[in-house]
Amino acid sequence: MSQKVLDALKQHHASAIELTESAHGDEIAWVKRDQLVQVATWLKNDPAMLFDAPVFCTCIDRLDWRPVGVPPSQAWNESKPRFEVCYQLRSQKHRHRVRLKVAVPEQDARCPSLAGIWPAFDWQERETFDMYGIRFDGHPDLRRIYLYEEFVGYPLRKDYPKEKRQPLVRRDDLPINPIKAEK
Amino acid sequence: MAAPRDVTSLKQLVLGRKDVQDLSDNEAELPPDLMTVNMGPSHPAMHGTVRIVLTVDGERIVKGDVQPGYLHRCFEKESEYATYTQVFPYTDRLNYVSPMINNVGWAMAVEKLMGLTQLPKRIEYIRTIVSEMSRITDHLTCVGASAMELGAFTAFLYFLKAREWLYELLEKVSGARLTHSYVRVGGVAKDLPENFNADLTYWSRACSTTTRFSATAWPASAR
Repeated sequence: MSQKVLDALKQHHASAIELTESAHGDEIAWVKRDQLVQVATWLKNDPAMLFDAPVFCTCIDRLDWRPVGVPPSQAWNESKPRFEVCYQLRSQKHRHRVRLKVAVPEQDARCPSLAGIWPAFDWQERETFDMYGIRFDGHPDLRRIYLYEEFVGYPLRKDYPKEKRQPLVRRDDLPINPIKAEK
Repeated sequence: MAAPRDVTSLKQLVLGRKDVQDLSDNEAELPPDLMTVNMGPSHPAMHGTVRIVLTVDGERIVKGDVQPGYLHRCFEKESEYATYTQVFPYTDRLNYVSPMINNVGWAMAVEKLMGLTQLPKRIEYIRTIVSEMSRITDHLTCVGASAMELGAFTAFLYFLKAREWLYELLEKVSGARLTHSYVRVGGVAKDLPENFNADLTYWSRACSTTTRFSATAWPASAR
């Protein structure tokens, strides 16, 4: 649908694009982390691109994830980074869409912030940081958005147990105070 | 902000200003200090729970730090532990005045991932009709509540009455008045009830008449 965006990206930013793919009618461009801001600025300002609508920003945690249909005997690239930060963009003028993906390793969970280019990503990146612990470099006000400051861990990571509770107020029906236990 | 030195200046800090007759000539200016005020998480002027830390300069708000999250329902985390069909009741509650649309959205997302592109025409029509009904109930709520905020409480009641007729119709369709869970991956839970066509025609006309009539109940300034 928006294949021409991917083609233009590969043409103008060949060094920054790792891979492009189309799945389920969506166009995805994997961008190198250190060149994300440069690519995003171009996407916003280039007259043929004009991505003026930042749709959402989120993250995918690929912990223990295997692609469907790959038999266990076949080698799966274990060294793939754990997190994928996704930026969905849309142009209201040209009516095309693209999804930027950035691979973020667990040990160095950082990603450049696009809040300076599209201010609407400000809160979205704060939510991504809150839930997945991705630190967005250059974000104007990176702090937890939904959870309280005392919260330990990042709840939407796949290794955060669903049953875990971290009440701020002492609860007699819980065995121990999990916050104290962690520290 | 400067720390208050005595009771008088503390009062001044809390109240923002003294009464005009109490101001001496050299105090004619209002205190220049900024004040921090907590608004919420639960406040009479708010419909949900959100905390806003306001920095005010007298009556003027110079900064507002909005802190949402008090109503976060962990939809994503709960869904990680549910099957695809089990997620439908959660989507009902994402926006509980238009649950059908959320149902359909979720079903379409799953179908897209499954590569299920061709659905029977009847399914598409049923989904579109119930989504449109949900959209109208949502608009009735939104516009009616906005009218209420402007002081037109009567209009709000007419709108909710009209909404209730559509809810009853959706109840006939799905079995539940508010959280329908009607859509399934690849289809809907069951066929439309008997006489649905006639009911829908009748009640959508009634909705239209009622909302038009309720316009007379709006205050002249908001008309």
